[in-house]
Amino acid sequence: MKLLFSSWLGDVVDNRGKSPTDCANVKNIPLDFGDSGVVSAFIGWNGIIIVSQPYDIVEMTYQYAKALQDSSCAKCFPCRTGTKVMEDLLLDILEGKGDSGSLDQLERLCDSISNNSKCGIGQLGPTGIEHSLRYFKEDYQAYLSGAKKRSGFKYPYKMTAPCTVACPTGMDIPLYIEHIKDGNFAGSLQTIREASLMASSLGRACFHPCENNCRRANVDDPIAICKLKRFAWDYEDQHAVDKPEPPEKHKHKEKVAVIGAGPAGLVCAYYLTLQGYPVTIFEKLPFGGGAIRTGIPQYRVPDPALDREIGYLQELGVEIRYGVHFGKDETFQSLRGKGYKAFFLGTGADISKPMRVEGEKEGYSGFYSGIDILMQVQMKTCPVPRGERALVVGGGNTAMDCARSFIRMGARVTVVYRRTEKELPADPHEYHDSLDEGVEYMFLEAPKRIIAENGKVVGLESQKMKLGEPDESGRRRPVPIEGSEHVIPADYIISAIGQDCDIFYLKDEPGVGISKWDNPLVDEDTLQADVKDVFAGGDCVTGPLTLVDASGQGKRAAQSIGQYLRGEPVRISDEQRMEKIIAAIGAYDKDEQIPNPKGWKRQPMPICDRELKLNSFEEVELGYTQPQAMEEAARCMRCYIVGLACVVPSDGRADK
Amino acid sequence: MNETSTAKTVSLTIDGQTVRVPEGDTILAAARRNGVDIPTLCFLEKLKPIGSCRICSVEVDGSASPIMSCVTPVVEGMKVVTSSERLSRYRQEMMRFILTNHPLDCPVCERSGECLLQNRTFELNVTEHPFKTIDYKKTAVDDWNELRYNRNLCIFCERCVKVCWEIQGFGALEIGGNGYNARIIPTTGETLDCDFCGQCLAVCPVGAISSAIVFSARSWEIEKVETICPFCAVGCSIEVNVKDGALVRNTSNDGIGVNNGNLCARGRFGHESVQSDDRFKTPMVRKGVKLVETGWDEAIGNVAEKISEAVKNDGPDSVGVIVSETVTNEDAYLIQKIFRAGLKSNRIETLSNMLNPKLNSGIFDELGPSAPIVPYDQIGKAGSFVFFGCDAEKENPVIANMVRVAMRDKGTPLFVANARNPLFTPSARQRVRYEYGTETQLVAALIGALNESGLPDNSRADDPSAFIKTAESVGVSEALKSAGVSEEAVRRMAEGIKTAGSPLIFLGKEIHDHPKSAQITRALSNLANLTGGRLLLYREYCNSQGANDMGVGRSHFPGYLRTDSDQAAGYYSAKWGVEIPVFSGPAPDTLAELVAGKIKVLIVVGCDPITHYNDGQFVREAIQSAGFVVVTGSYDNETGVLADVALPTTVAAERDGSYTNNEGRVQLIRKAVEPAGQSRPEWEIFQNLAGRLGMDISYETCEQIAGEIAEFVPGYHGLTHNRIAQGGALVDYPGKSSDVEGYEFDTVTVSSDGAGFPFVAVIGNSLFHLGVASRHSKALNRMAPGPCLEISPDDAAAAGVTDGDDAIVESVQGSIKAKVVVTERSSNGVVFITKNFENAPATHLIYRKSPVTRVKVSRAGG
Repeated sequence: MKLLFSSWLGDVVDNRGKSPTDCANVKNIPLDFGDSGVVSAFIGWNGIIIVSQPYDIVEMTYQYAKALQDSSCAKCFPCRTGTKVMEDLLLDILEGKGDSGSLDQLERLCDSISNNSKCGIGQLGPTGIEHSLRYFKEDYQAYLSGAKKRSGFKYPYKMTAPCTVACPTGMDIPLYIEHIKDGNFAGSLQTIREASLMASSLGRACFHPCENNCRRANVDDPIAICKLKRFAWDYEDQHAVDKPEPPEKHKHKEKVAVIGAGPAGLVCAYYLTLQGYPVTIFEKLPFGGGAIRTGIPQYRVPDPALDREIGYLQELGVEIRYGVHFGKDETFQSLRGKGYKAFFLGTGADISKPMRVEGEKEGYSGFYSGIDILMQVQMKTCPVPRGERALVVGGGNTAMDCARSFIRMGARVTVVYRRTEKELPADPHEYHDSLDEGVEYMFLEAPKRIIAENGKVVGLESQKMKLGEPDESGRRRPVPIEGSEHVIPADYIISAIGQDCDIFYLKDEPGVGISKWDNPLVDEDTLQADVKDVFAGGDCVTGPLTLVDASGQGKRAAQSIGQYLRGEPVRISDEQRMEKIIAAIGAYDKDEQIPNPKGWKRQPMPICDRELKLNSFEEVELGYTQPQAMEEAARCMRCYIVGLACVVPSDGRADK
Repeated sequence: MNETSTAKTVSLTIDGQTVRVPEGDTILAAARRNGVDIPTLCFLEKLKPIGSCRICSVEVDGSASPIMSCVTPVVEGMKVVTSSERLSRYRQEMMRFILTNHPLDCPVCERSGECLLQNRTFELNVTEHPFKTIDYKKTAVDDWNELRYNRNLCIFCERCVKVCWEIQGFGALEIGGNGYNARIIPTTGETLDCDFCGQCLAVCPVGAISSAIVFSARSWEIEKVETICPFCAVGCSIEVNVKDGALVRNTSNDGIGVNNGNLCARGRFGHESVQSDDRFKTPMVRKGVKLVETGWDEAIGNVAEKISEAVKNDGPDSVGVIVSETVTNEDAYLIQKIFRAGLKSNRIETLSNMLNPKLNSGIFDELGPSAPIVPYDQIGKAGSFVFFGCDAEKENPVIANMVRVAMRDKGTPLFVANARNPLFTPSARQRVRYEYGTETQLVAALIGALNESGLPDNSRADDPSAFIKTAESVGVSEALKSAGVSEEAVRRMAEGIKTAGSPLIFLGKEIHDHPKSAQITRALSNLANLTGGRLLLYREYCNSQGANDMGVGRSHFPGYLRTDSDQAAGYYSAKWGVEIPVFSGPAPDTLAELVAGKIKVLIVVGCDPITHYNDGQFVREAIQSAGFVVVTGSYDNETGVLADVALPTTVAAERDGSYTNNEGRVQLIRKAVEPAGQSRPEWEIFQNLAGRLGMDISYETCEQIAGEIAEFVPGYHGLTHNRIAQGGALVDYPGKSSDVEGYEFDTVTVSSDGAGFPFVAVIGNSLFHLGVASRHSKALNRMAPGPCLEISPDDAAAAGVTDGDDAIVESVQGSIKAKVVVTERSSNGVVFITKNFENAPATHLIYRKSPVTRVKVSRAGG
């Protein structure tokens, strides 16, 4: 984006006194700061960014030092005391009491704090101050000479970490990991629950974007963030732990209807309960968990682990009504009539996307959609394909789940995918496990026709593909090779190429807008629909995404619903705006050189007996032992960072 | 740390020297192992590395920044440099951060001279302090009840926070606030309300945490004498700090003794009792109705005369002695020798033996190699822990510390079975709550469940039939009929114990004092042997074990030789050079003999049976029945009131000797201060008495008696004072080589009529008092001024009492006033009452003819 100045990541672009130019290191920072104005500058762990006038670099630097000091956990001396000394030196300068010695001492402090601190606040934080001292000497001179006085802009800041930024729930990952290191497992789970109810499910089946943004990976291996979460939950589950006291029950009287007991709905219900609102969840299936239950096989998230997670919510007073199909058994109107003051739609994406090939709609025996067959596996109504040949069409996680489920039931399984291994959208871990379990792959194959005899699937006509130019997603587009059609014999064909949302219930509420992909339209920040008492999140809004995305949206919706019910403006906080800014700037740099010794390896996950793994739905991963978990947690580098913005009134935005 | 021989190793270079160290070592550990010193400040061996001070930095090849050696594990090929100009500069800089605004209160600071901050400042040559913060204000010292916190001196090393969490399991302290404004705050509300073990005080490297007991000495004026804490059976090493003959405080030290620097409130703050004004200092004899002061000569002469008279008129059995379990091995040995070899009387008892001979003197007859005495080092090796009728956190907190460290480092699972609901941190895998009196049923069910699911491979029972016989004959569900435990819970626990393997089963005082204690112990020994486990029975006093070992009990000579055995009598006849009779026949009950008038002269050594023994009212009547009563002790007490002759004795800090602790370790106690007044150690008094009685029993020193014990007493061979001076030595108990046996046991519920008395009362010790002495520590009396009644919320509501009320607790035998503590630690139907208060003795609620004590509770004045 176009900038006046940037020292971000060390590449200096300096347009002061000139027109802003493009800076490749910094992309699309959302500058709008609501009623407060707009962002004109930013300071943080990788340097300084100046978008536009006005700004006051010294005042911003002082505020940033103060933010570091306020964020310091006090658990190491250089950060605890050093950042305080820096803050006070900068305040002296701002008040005209500083001298050039103050600047020398600040430089010295930057060096000793960043080289000796325990965590990111002290290790990375001083970079912004150091850049400020290095590139804005005249600004300091103006204060030292008494020529300049304080500007009094607004300086919101946010303390976060790369893993936290990557997590859709904004979980305080370094903290829950530190608690595990310290043996405070209850404290760890409490920290997790501040961001999501679903510690068990997430700890087992999250695709963990956090681990892809873990700085420890730059040293050796990323922290096993996901599995440590599972440890915290398992510890509570396996010990005679006193469960937390239920919150102030039903402090408010306004009832909320949550539609769908999937991850988004459960999480939304949880945070509404914590705010004191009575919640009823309406679920069309006879059990809760949504896509976790129907879409994730038992060997990854066993029923008991999910049941106890849902049970925890029920213990807090949330009512779940199973077998109630919203849109049929109850509607917006009927529930409003029963006193529900707000709705959260978390109805998921549970209808299979058609492959649009011949034979798909004939009702052939042996042809299934991925989510249907996983549901049947879950309900134990699935045919037993022992020794038979199954083709799974698609390359996502649902395809992996189908393939690995069928392997466990004794089938010979081949995954048919139209691109190559490289483009496979499934979690690499899932893919490798499937190979280990004997799943075979046919890449660059696109289905054309389902072949059946006597109403029973016997094969799939497929066309070979080659890779062409990249599409809008950046992946190379598969192009059919003319005349390459051939038949793959099969007893089962499972279509797992994607899912759509079933939002027929919106016919009763025409005020809610619908997107071109058939999702309810909601504000991207607040998740509020055009009809003010309706909120939506999870797969029904995003299309099939992840458990952790749904979880994050459930929590965000609960915040908005609370604001709405209390008659407050429905909007995100300054802190959440800062989260968006930091996410846009990017908190993780995969090329960063980190000065830690390499070789402290990630703890290996104990897994169940191989025979059991291949032939049953027993949970594959056994979970870390306590010493393993504490050792793994000790590897975490606590990469806390602080980002601070200079916010100026909107009318002051124009360059002076 | 793993044993170097078996663990994998890693090779690295430290300052150019190639070394090989166990995998898992930190850089700091590897350096220290190889004699390389890296300065530290926050580091404490017994805690997980904290990493707050940033002093222990080293340079590691390939890393641009200094690396903290305390938290960084070694990896193969690592190149470490521990000193360089850059490291010195950074270490000094870290010190400057720590010293920023640190008040120069050293001249008045009580840690001066033993302050780690002073030492490091000096060693690292930090001479200038360029940093300041503006608007820095000193804050007032926080009153934390028994402790004081001075934030101005605090350097936020976090040792106190960590020790309280990791070792003590309390988590009473945390860092409150952020950045420079942070302070250590109690998590227990406005002030500190904890177990007051003082672990935080001990680990504080500066003077930030101090005791409420004003400490007026300078560290360099103090002489420290290493000895053993006399306040319970754990046998912790303490250092008695003496200045100009005055005992100024107790400390301990990581790395010495069994306790690794850990103590409890009694050990750390009970020392005021030693030089208390209440000490009994002058021998007294009864003249008319009054006890009047006299000299030793007259007092002892008086006693000798009465004994001679009784022996002459009524035979040797008319003289009896009740010996405290706080006397030394040497005292105990000498007293029983005087009785057996001199008087030919076998009327010699401890209170524990009077109550429960099978688990005391009779323990090896009862259980052979399965006897519940286990070296503490087994705690770190156990596969699992079972607290059975044991409130580990409150009964023996320092053993609980050892358990906690094993749970922290190995994740050893814990299972709890109790009639109450004692809590423990870290959490147990499973807690079951049984009905008091059904313990053997629960054990039968556990064994049954274990048997049904298949006995584990590490079972010690070659032929399990005898071990499972009772369980099989009862059946799991039948066994549980009145235990109040679900079959599912029992099966889960049995499975849990089996999976984890080798349980170490702790039996608390509740079991020792239980009417069915021997049956429960037999049952549990089956369970332990079937699962490759062991039992550890908590003893109560500092030398309860030693008193048993020394033959203070009617059934056994020293070394567990039976008094009814010709062979044993022959053995000691030969050793002592005098004919020892075979003391045959069933051992009569001392109290019954007193009441029956058979004991004419009773000597009570160092204890207060009226306050501490069951059914104290009856005990008083019994003792009053003796024609002549001699009481020795260090303080006035209820039994002393009945004395015809009262003799002042020294306390542990005033003498030498040895105690044998709960794991069977003989340890040396050392004289630190001069005896109060005319008080004397028991051995001197009894040896004097022996002389007056014309016996040929005489020793120059206590050590000489120890020498005889080391020569004559089986199991104690070679354990002279010299031998035990460093770290003590384990007794070689009998029966070690024999095969374990399975036992039948009964599964009958024991109960008493509950009409009008709705609650079962379990009576035991609080953290703060044990026996007579602790009541003479002002600090301990502040922590626990009187008895507490722990009662569940439901029961409290039913009884109409609330937390903090004074309640009247009444049984068929008596009533006392106690402070109500409403707590989840009590389960419905069972209350817990703390004893040791002579003015409100909970033992007086016990009626000797009721197997189970039941009480009713009402609000005092209500």
